[in-house]
Amino acid sequence: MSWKNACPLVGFASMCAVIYLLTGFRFLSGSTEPEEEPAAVAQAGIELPEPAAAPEETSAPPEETDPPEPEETAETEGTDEAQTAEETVPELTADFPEDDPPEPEPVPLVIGTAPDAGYFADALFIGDSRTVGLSEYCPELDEQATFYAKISLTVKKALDKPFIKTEDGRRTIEEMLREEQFGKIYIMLGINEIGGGSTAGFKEDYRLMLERIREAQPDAIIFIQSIMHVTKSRSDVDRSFNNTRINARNEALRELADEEHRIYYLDINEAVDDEDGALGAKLSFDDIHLKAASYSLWYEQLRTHAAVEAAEDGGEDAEDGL
Amino acid sequence: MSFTDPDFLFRFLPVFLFVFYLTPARLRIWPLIGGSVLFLALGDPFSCLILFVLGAWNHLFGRAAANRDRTALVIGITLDLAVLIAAKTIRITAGIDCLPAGISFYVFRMIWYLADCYRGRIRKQPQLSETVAFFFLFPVLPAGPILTYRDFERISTLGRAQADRPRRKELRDILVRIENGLLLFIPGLAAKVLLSDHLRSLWSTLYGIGYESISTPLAWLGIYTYSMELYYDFWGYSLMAAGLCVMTGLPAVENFRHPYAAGSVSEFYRRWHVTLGTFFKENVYIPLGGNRRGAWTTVRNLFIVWLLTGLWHGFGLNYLVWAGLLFLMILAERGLRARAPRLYPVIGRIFVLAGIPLTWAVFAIPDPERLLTYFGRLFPFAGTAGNVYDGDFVKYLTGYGIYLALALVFLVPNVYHCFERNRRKPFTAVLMAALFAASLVSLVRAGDNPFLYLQF
Repeated sequence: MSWKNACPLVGFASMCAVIYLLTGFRFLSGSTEPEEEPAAVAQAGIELPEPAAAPEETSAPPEETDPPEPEETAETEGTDEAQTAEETVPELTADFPEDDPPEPEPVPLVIGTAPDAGYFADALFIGDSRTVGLSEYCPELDEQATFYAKISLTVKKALDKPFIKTEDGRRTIEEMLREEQFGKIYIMLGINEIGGGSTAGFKEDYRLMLERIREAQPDAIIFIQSIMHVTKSRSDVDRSFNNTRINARNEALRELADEEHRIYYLDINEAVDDEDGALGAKLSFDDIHLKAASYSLWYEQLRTHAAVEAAEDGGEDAEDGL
Repeated sequence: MSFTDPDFLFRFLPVFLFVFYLTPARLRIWPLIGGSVLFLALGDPFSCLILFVLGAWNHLFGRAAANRDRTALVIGITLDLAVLIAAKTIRITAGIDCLPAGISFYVFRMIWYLADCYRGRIRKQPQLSETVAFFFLFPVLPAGPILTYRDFERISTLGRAQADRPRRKELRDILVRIENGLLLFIPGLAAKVLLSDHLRSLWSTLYGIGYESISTPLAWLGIYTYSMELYYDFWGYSLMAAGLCVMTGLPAVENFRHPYAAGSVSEFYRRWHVTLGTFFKENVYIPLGGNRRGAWTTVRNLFIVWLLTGLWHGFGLNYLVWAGLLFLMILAERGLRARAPRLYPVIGRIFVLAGIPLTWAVFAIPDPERLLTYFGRLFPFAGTAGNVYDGDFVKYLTGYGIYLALALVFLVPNVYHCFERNRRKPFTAVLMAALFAASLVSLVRAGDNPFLYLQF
């Protein structure tokens, strides 16, 4: 072999060196990114790869800075078709019951059973992969409601990620909220950022998000859904995705509820917990998401915890009618 | 430690190669042993001790077997098998991993070693240090290939042969070796990280949904995804191992020869996990008489080989069913080849392209109830029990389309051959660097950083 033949090798070696310099430091310096709880993070770093590689992850876990890849938004596609078809529905309903009495003081609401399936027709669901699953495996809701849900959505970025496909290209949730009024807005976010940041910071981010939603949707009833637990087997071994952390964040979310201003906290875990206060092992195969057949539990919890007008006084009676 | 671990790529491997080649050739066996022991000990120090004991007694039995001592051979093999069976039984019954994951690989290497000693196929009866180096050899430790001692003997970087070569020439040889090794290692890494790992996440998504709730098209997509995931995982790992072998001066062992291009199931398994197939052929099938003692003996020998293959993969019922199905398909092919030679190529292809993926479903799902559910979705004659999202097939096909398409392309032998032909071109070097970079990015994103790891 002559030195001429070694050219590729030399070129290769130098490129490797460059790559090493660019990416290698990350390995050498270890994960120093977390702002707090470095011990937990380092541990999680060791434990995570195996089990966590499994769950519903579309190919490359999307990073914030990435140009949107096709698979990233694949999640919303299914709902989008339904959504564009239904977008007119909420608008219509919004015209009648919600917009008509804008001036008079709002009718007092109580939590009860939804009078009928049409209750969700003007509802919007915002969430991460769990809500994506709800849209796919709960046909009752998908037929009625609108879903702005996407894998790996976080509270901080939720309103600003342009992932909703419309005729004018990809839009953010905030843009959509400014265009169309919803009667109810259900939010479930928080599992993705559970491993990082503080509870106080999370609460503040959530509060800011609620403020912006409220600004765009002055009349909507907002439901803060609790972050759903993970199963006991996952919670016991995972330093990040465990129920202790989830419970702390849920307590913070509960404090954000403000019923006077139509912001309610809705505990979903009531419906899916086992006796250990963890996601029931039989309800999930990957320890984080409900399996398809279990989404009906979530729906039932939503249906029986609807905000209905107190004047109707008939939450319980209406239930029999269903 | 795994080959895809950044600690391995950026710390262990460079340091090992540096020390290995800095050591004079006649002493190089020691860094080889030291590095391999360290590699194993970093993951699991206790198993080092067990492996050392196993290695030492196989060394002794090997010496005796080399003198045509049949008793020593039998006792040695029995002991090896006893350890393997004990380890697997303990793992199943008590759930304790008392031996490292690769045990079935190195126990088979030990058995093969004894058999080769007995048959006189080893040129020079090794020193203890050489057998220990062979048994601990880190490139083939975690997941094969099942390297024979005959191949290990051909190592070109140890011993006196190297000692009197001019320095300058030796340095060039080392660089060439490392380049050749990288040309195997990097495609392997990419196959594992860029293809297999992504395909696996699709396969686990199906699991997460619950098999009762997947649509029939998705169920079919699932088994093809799993088939390719398994292939790229194992092939990628074998390529990485071959690359590491080449870097240390060992011959590259070919463990996969584009199995999905095979024309029949029997050919498929001559191309899939070649070293395991060769092991059974040399040490079980041929000694039992192979196919030269009449049809019934051949069938019996095939049955024994497939029974052992099933048991080797695990003691679960599904592995036996898996092996049984393959045995039946191979029998059917033998019958067809004799009676309907014109039909044979067609049926053979169908077996490979549809039958093999179905057998992988049996292989992949240990729980019989879930396996039945899955087959119920593949062949939905009984209707649906769960709630199915009809858009799931399109959703995952578009989401994973790029990986599925790439995986399909690389099943074609010519694609890889084209790369092999052009491996000396500068363009390949650029491609390799790009693949390496992409693999690293993928590793960092999907791997162990919970903060880059938003996935739910």
